[in-house]
This record gives sequence, structure tokens and C-alpha cells, in this order.
Amino acid sequence: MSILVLLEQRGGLKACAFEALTAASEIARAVNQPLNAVFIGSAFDNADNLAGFGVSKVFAYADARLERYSSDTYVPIAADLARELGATVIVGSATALGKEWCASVAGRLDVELVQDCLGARWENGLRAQKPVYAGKVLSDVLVNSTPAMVSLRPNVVPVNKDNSPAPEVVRRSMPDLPIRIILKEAVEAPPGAAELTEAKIVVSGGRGVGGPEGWPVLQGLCDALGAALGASRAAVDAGWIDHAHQVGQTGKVVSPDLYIACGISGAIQHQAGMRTAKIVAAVNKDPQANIFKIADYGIVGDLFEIVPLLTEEIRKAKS
Amino acid sequence: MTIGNGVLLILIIAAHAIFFRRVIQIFRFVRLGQGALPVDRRMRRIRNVLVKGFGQRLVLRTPAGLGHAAIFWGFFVLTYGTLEGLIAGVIPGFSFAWMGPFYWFMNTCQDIFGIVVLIALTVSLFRRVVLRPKRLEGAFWHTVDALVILLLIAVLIKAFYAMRILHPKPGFTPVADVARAVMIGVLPGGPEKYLGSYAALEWVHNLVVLAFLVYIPYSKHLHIVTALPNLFFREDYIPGRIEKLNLEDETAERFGVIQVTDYSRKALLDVAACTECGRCQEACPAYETGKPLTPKEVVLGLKDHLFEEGPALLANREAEPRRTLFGEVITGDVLWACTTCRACEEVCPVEIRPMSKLTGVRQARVLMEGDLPEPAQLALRNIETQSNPWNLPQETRGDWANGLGVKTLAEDANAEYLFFVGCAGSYDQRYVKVSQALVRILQTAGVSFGILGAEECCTGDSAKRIGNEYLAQMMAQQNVDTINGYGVKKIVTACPHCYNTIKNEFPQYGGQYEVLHHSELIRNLIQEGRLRLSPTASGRIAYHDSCYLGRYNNVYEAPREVIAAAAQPPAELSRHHALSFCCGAGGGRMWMEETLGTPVNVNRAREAASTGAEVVATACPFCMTMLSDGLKSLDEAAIPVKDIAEIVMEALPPVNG
Repeated sequence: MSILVLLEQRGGLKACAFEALTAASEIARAVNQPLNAVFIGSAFDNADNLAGFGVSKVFAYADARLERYSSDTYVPIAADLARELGATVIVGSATALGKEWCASVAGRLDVELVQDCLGARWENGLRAQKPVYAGKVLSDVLVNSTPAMVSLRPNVVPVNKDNSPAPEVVRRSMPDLPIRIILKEAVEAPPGAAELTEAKIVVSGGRGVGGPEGWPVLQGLCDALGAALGASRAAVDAGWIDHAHQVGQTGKVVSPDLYIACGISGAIQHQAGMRTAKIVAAVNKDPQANIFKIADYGIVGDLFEIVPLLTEEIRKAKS
Repeated sequence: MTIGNGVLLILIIAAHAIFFRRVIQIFRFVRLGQGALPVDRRMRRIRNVLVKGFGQRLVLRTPAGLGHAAIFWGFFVLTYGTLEGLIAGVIPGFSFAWMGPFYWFMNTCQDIFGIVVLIALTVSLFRRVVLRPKRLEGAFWHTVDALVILLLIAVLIKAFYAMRILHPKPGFTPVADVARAVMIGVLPGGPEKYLGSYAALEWVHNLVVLAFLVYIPYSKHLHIVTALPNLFFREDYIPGRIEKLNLEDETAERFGVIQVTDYSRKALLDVAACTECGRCQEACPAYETGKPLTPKEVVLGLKDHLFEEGPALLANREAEPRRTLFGEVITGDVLWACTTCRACEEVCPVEIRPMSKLTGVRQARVLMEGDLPEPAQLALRNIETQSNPWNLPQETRGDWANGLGVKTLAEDANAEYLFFVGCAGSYDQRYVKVSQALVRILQTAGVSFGILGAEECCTGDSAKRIGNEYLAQMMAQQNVDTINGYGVKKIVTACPHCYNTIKNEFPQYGGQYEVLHHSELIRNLIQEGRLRLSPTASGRIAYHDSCYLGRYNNVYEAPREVIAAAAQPPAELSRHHALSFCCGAGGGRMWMEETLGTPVNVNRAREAASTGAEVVATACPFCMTMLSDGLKSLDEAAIPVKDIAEIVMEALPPVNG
């Protein structure tokens, strides 16, 4: 009897893996069962970054053939391990990859899975908060059987660590599995596209950037904050930046912790893509700009004056 | 009867057999479509044929149409002589001389129309070969086809005059007389030496006529046969309405147009009636800005497709067409480029409706395949969940009116007008200012009105035009139920898309109201003296027509009169009224990316800026967004875009004076 976390990696562990560990550690405490994790990838160095979640064992399957996700390998490995450990609750992430992985494991084990949840806890069974009707309603789902599975939406559960030690590493070799799919090549999406929707901080520029030569100023702020670079439709239509960066109704919909809009007037088409950001800060020359109506913090001024000052201060504060 | 007479008789019979065989086949292709050709109200149909067909009213809207009208009318006059010639070729010595004065009159007409047609042909040839207007461009064989026809007619006319020179007929025939006199006077040896024998000319004339008869139904000149029937079987349609699909029918297995036989018979007659004149292409904003869509090619593509697949489909109605309608005949880039501006339908001289050929296919893509551009999907999902395209909370829909003293119908259902605000007027901070301006105007004029607040939903216009019939019906029904619940009689709205849907589509859901666009209501208030304005000394104002207001609903003058009363008569953009150019946002294009060609809105904004206007006036939220974005990207941000209500508000007397 134990709790199992499916750790998602692409080279290194993804942020969502730590979110899953945070939620799972609380469940483990509540049911008083040991917390285990499974890592599947090309190589496993050490378990130091898994300290602080109360994980007792991490089962590491490292093999060059396991570098990338494949349902031929990841699904049977995780499912067999869950059976072997007698897992009562299995926690994964609701990323594009995680949704497939979790669903396949649940199918193979013939257990309940609540997909794409905002949170999960133990209360007479696994309880998960799942948005339905496109987010209009938040349903509280109780799974009254075990084993039960849940996948968590990324960027929702805040990572929480304590001072518990790093887990014991159980290294396993890759089992002999029939592999029907061989991944020959993975073509990455253009930089900016993927990071934009997952970034915790987004710095966006609009018509106020003035031209393609204006971006380095915003890129400087992005680098200082570790933020992704976004743009309004006006800037994209003008040909100043690739469409992959567009935030808005017809571009990406982002909901970062912090959204900094620079030189963006904030037309409703743009707002539709960033309105769910936790905090919105805006820099604009025009005090009447619509963006100030939805901004938590606003600076009226020229972005070419304000942004370098901001970058400088953030660098100082960080160093 | 000589051998020659017999041979001609056989040729006449053969040519007619080929002609009618093909024409009947084409009408059988048309019958592959759904429903029946409409035949109600015959007198109106006959009048339509007389005015728009024989009267050439729609053709004559462009200068080149004059040439067409000359050839068209000339064709009827000359056919009199052609018929006489054909009969005389079989029965030697036959003539219509027994008709007496009428014979004399027709000979006179023929002589005069002959030269008129010849001039028109020369001009047409000059246009085709030298000027080459873009709208006449097409596949190589289309041009060859047109040239063959023009040359055949030219040969006919020349043979006709040669015959009249050699063999005059009673009548006032100045052209033939002068030509004969010149030939006799100037050329030694007389006309015979140059024109050949009369008998040979008769043969040339008759053979060319028969060749023409055989060629017609296989060429672009098929329209001689199909255009007048197309005017007769005119659909009695409301331009602003896409007919409601019956989604409740549990036996229905297909919605929208999946293959060519899913079109109505009238739609198939439409494609068979196309003359390839390209007026629709010239008017199309998608074509103008470099998108792969041209309405002309949509119609011609369907025509070729129908004629190719026709024989197999006639043999077996279940036959699988060799080419798919979507993908091969109409590609996705073509399908989704349409802004539903209706310019193509407005300009077609034989009342073909190219736009509706596309909306039917959109319905099939969305309802049957769920295949539509991704950003459009997002907007529709938002409409579905929060009944507005931006996914803003439904319960805050009425927040824009806070503090303005506006009551909802829930608070007071006795208001005379329902102000239907629309999504943009409720949520888009820019257009909220227009809603607020209209409130101020209505309050100043003492108009009793209320809003629905959070009970209002999107009308479903974008959903309908994108092809999501299901969602559109849901939105319409929900609104109609709410509005009827309050017993509303009159509705005013500042959004032409809401206006069009409420006025033209809501009646299909049980919603019958008197619907006014705010330009109409404000115009009425000014005329009734309820709104006194002191025109401000503002700069030059140019007015941009909204497609859904103008071409869809014929509201052209109200906004102009309002601007004139509040400031000064507006300047016109070079394309205006019925020939106005779309802003680029209709038909759900507002919610899609514009990745092909150049932006429609920039094209229109450039045109607006070139009027030298200091203000661009609009009467539609989409037009406002598109034009202000367009002006900004042209670095013309100094030219503000204002709604007519904002211009009126500036001319209102001060609140306490």
C-alpha cells in the first residue's frame, strides 16, 4: 500500500512533477502510506531535487530508449510498478503528455482517473476539484474506490517543500517490452511558442515597441525575470515579430502569475488572451489606455525609459 | 429543292439536335439539386426577366455593360433576318416580305443594329485583347472561348452586310447603302469582285449561325440559355438571412453542403448561368487583398464540377463524385477567406449568389466535421460558455451601464424600446463608450428604453456565418425567449450584426419586432425635433458603410443624415453605398487570423485616409476596430475613428444649458 507519483521529465524534471509531488505528499500523510515516485528517462543522476516532499523511494528506469515518452514503454512500466507496489492513489500531471500517460495507465489498471484537476486531497477517498463546462463550474469529485488516479493541471498547485530528506533511489533496468513505435525525430516548435503558455511571467510588447528593433529592450527584461516574450496582434501584423509570440483572441491564451504589458493599448482582443493572469502590470504612454482598466499596477510613461530602469532594478534585487 | 437545300436542312436539324440535347442535359444536371425551382408569383418573375433580362438593368450598371446591351438587343433584331436566311436556304426564294411594313421596319433595325453590334464587338475585342481588365482574366481556354464567340458574331455581321450590299431589301438601310455606294464609286469592278457571290455568302452566314448554335451550350455563352431562366426562378430571399436548418429532424443525416447535389436546384441553375464577367471578383475584398478566393472562380469551379460529375450522377444518384467538393473544388483557404460582405451578390448582373455557395459548405464543415480555423473555434466556445466571444463573465454583461441611470427590463418592463447592446457594446471598452453615448442621446431626447443586462446573449451572428448553426440557433432562441418574455415591441441596437440577425433571422424563432439601427432612431429623433443639435466645427468626416447595414439592410442614408445634422455632410470614400468595401471582419473573420495576402482593413483604412478626412465615422463595432487598427498600422493614428453616436453626442447641448 503506497502512493505513487508519475514524474514527468524532458531531459530534467518538469515543474509540474514537483506540483504533483506536493499534492501527493499531502495525500500520503492523510492516508498514512509511504510516498513513492517513478522516473522514466534516458538517465537518472541523483534524487537530491526530490528532497522536501517526503518521498521514500524513487524508482528510476534509465535507458537511452526511454529518453522520450512512448505509450509502448512508459505505460506498462508505470502500470506494472503501481501493481507491484500496491498503489492506492496515483498522481500525474495534466500536460499534453501526462494526459495520455495517465489515461493509458488508468485503462491498463482498470481504475478511476479524474483528469485535469485543480487540486486533490484525501477525505474518505480521493477528492479532486475538476473544472467542467469550460470552467463555468468547479465540480468536487469523490472517487470512492481504490486504486484511484488524478492528473493535475500545471501551474495550479503551489510547490511546497519541507525539510524531509532525499528519497532512496531504486535503479531498475528497462524491462523487455515489445516496442512497436520508434521515434525517429522530434521537431521542436519554434522557440517562444511552447514557453509562452507555460511561463510564470510573460513580458509582452505592442505597437509601442515601434518596430522590430525595439524587442531587445523587452528581451532584457525577460532575461532578468526569466520570462517569456509575448506580443500583441498589432505588433505581429506589422511583421515585427513571429506569430508564435502573439497573445490574444487569435493567438495564445496565457495565464501566468505576472503579465507585463508594454506599449499595449489593451484592446479587448488582446485582453481575451491574458485576462486570467494573476497580476497584470502595464507600461503605456497613454494614461487613457484600456490596459490600465484591468492592470493591477500601471506606469504611465515611455517603455524605452521605464523598461531599462525596471530591468536594472530587478537585476540588482536578484544579485 | 436542290441538293444544297437538302444538305442545309439536314445540318439545321443536326445542329438543333445537338443544341437541345446539351441544353436538356444541363437542365437535368440542375435537377440533381435539392428542392424545387420556385415558381410562385409569376407576374413578379416575368417582370424580373423583363427588367433585368430584356431591360439589362443590372448589366448597365457598369460602362462595359452598354456594349453587352447593344449586342444583346442586336442579337434579337438580327435573329429575325437570320431566321429568314435559314428558311430561304431550305426553301429557295422564301422571305418575310409578306409582313409588309413590319418587314420594312425590321430591315431598317437590322441595318442600324448591325453597325452598333459591330462597334460593340470591336470595343469588346479591344478590352479582351488589349485592355485585359483583371475581372475577365481566367483560364486560357476561357479567353479563347470568348474570342471565338466574338469572332463568330463579327463574321455573321460582316456576311450580313455583304449580302445586303449585294442584295438590298426594302427598308431604310443607310449603312448598307453607303457601303454599296462607296464600293461602286471607289473600287473598280463593283462589290461582287470583293464580296464574292451572294450564294456563297448565304452559305457562310448559315453555316456560322449553325456553328454558333452548336457551340453555345458548350461555351461561356451558355448563359444565353440559362441567364433568363435564372432571373425567372429568382429566389425570393432576404439578403440578411441564412435559412434556418432543421436540426430537430432525426432522420437527417447531412447538414450543409457536403457534395454538389446538396445545393438547391436554384443554386445549381446559378452556377450554370454564370457569364464569367468577373464583376463579383472585382468587388470581392478577399480577392482584392490577395486571398485565393474569387467568387467568380468559386461559381465557375462549381459549374465545371457539376458538368463533370453530372453524367455519372444522372446515371446513379449515389455515385461518389471523383473530386471532393471541399478540398478539391473549394479549398479551405478559399472557404474561410470570405467576409460575407455580399458585394459579389450585389453586383451580379444575373442575380447569382456566390457567397451563399460558401456559407453552405461552411455549415457542412462545422456541423459534420468540426473542421474550422482554430481561433474561430475559441470564439465559438466562448460564445457557448459565456455567450460572448471573449469569454468575459456573463453576469458582468450589464456593468457598462452602472451609474448611467439605465434600467433593465427586469426592473421596468414598460420601456418603449429595448436597447440591445451586443457583445462589443457591453464588453469592449472602446465600444462601451458608444453605448454610453447612445444612452446619453436617448436620455436627452426623452426616449423610454431599457436593457436586458446580464440576460442578454450574443445574437449568434458570427456562429451562424462561420457555420455553427447549432450554436446560432441556441443563441437566437435564448434571446427571443427572453425578449418575448418582456413583451418587447421595438428594439434599437448600435451593432449592424445584431441588427441584421434580430431583424432578419429572429422572426424564424418567433421574434417579431420593429428593429432600428441607432442611426435610424437618431435620424428620426432629429426629424421629429426631439433632439436638438448644435453642429460643432469639426473637421472633415468620412463615412464608411458597414456591409451588414448597407448591402444587407439598405440603410445607407440614415447615418449620413445623422452626421450631416451633427456636424457636416460626410465625405465619401471612393467605394461607397452598395459598392462599399468591407472592413474585413464579417462572416466570423473578426475571430480568425488573416495570414494570406494583405490585410483588408489596411486597404480600407488607406482609402479612408486618402479622403483627407480628419475623422472616420463608422456605425459598427467591427468596422470601428478594423479601421482604427488599420489606420494605426498606416501610422495614421491621428485620424480618430468615431461612431456616429459619438459625433452626435459632441453636438448635444451642454447638460445644464
